[in-house]
Amino acid sequence: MLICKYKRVGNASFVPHLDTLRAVVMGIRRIGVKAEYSEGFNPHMKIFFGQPLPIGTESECEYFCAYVNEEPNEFAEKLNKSLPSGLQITAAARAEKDPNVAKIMCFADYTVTMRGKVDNLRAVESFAELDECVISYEQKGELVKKDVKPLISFLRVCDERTVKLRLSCGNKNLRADRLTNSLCKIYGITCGYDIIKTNMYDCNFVDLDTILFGSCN
Amino acid sequence: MKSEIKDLLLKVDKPARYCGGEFNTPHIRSDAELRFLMCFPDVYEVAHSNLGIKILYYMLNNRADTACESCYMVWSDMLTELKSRGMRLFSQETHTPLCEFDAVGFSLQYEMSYTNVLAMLELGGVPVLRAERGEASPIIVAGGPCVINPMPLTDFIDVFSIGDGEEAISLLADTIVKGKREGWGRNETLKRIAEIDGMFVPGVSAGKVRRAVIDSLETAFFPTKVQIPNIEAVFSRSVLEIFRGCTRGCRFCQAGMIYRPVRERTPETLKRYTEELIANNGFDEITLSSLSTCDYPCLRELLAKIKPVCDERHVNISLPSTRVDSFEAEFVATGRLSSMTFAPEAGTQRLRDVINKNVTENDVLTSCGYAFEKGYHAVKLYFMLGLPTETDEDILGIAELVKKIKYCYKSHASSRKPLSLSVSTSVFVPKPFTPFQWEAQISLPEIERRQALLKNALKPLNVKYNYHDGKTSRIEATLARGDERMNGVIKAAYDSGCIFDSWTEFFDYDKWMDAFERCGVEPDDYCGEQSLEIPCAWERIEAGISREFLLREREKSRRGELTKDCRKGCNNCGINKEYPSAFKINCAGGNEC
Repeated sequence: MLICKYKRVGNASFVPHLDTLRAVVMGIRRIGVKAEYSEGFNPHMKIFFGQPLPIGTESECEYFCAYVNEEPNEFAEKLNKSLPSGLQITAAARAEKDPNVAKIMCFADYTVTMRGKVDNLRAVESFAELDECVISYEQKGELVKKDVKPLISFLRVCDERTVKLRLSCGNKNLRADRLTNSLCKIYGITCGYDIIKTNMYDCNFVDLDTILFGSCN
Repeated sequence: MKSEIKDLLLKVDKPARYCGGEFNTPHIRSDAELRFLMCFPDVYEVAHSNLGIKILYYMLNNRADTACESCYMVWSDMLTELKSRGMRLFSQETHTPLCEFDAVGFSLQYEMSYTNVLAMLELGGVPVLRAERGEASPIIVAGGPCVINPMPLTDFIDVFSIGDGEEAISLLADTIVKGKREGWGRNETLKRIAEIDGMFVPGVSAGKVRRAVIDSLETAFFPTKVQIPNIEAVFSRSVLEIFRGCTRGCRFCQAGMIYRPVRERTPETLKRYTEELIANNGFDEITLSSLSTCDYPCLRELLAKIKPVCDERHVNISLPSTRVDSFEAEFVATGRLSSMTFAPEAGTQRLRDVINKNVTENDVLTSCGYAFEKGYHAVKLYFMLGLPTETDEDILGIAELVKKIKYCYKSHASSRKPLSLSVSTSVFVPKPFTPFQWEAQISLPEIERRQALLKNALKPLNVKYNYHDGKTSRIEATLARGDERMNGVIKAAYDSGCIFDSWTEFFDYDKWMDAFERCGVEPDDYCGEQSLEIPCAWERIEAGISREFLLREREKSRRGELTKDCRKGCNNCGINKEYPSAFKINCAGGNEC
């Protein structure tokens, strides 16, 4: 069994979760690597992903676990030639059992990059200090208002263009795009932004890379 | 990706349909002399199930002087967003607006996509009317089965590519490239294009234009590396075209006539393609595609060759099957047990003889019996309502057949599941270049009466019954048999908001009726019986099937006489005379494989 870390950037960030999974399965099929299949009427390749990433959010730290018996680095190299643009394996290692990324993931770091300089960007830091951090977003055509204070670990402005966020990510979840969108509305920021997820952690703030790949990665 | 496009994509449903970056996208040359845009006038998921545009797309990109990109009709939310942002419909690969290409090609697979062609042109910044285009406008090309009758679209399309596209597209590209090098104007370029075999250029072409036919499929290009759609297409599988054309001669079937003669690929070539398809694409299913796959003379040999290859890579082979006889069922049964599909088309033997559908009740029951023993428990049946000479007895015959299949399941089933049976009916639409091209379509009230009759007859049998909307079929008939007057109707319908006519949630019959009225055109001129004396509008095109053959078949149908499969001997349809080389090279027509 192999655990793989991959990034999803550019075009690929518009591809929904299940289709990303399908793209990886097709990639493995193309390179002709023997994989384990489930039993039953419709056998499917045994491969397990973390929780879905919102459409439009890029990430450098997604993981899947595949039931293949291959040398990790060779597998990653081969598969990378067989994945659509924007999807890329960045690390791979053998695993004894499925670490169940979807279950252990708990927090994630995001970098939000504004598309222009925002002079008063530092003001958004105060949002996290409020007693209630209420954001609003549309869901299934309805406007939802929600206090997300318990889901924000930190919100730091690095310079006039960059905000770093650490948010709950997993079973308790706050979408970085929804928070950023609300921040832009509240603080009158109109220049647009891009978001990339950079790291994931378990419930004790241990980096998933450390858990899954040990110190060598 | 430009932030302008990224922001746009975040506003629409399923943005993966528009972002590009599909696996197997070829390198798009930035220094190409010819920039071609291959369009499909329906949504991404439908377009990606079409083989024709893939063949042409890869052929063009294999040229050193050409860059071919692709573009599909956008869903209504994207259409609104593009309009409100003042943006133009753009290509998938480089996000270039449609109007900036040298040539734009449309694949016309069904008549109800015509208004989408107009929508894509307008959204892409190109005048919808041919007469309003200037030197800077792209040349608008259309191909696919529908252009066998180009007449309803002559106001919108500059060039119709009629028949097989493989040779035509290369000659078209050569001509446009030469025109650019030598500085020809638009008119000169169109004049030169009209000289190419199979090209009908409205206002330029004189006399009849003959359908282009490639002699051999063995030597023709076949794309074994295809773009993998970002989201699942309607048909998510590899397509292996095993032959083109059909020898059965069903009298309602346009494809059976306009793709003649039959041209086959050899099992050796098909095995090689299968290996390439698996290695290049990664689908878990491969379909052996043709108009009548069970008629492929080397099917057993082919399956024996490709089965081990497919099994090893966990790829299922699917046969678009209408006749499952023993050995095919054996092959199919080792894969997934999906449902079986039969298209008897008519409920009684009398009517099946009228349409020359050489299927007997016994054939259906024998196949069902065998498949039920193998564990199948789902059957889909397809019929047509409103076929020439149809009576209520023929319709009730459908229910009788259903009863017999249910009884057959009781005595043959090995599965413990209850039988799942579904009946679907479409409405007969008379199509150009078929023996039924002169026949009337039944009226709308009559369509609805016959659907209700069948619905009642099937009610006590506990089967699922689906039927096509009669209104859509009426409009389809007017477009299929349309003449030049239909250009105005299509434009008027589009101007009043008609798009996505093949989607029930968009189709608006009343708007179409208004369009007819405003143009002073009577729909019954096209739906009613056509005169044998006056040439049909589409006879501007020479399809290669002689009028005499079609008339002969029409008379035989009235007498309920059958015409044998062409593989059992020539029926003199005219193809052998019109395309002697294509006819000779291929083994159809009685030769042993």
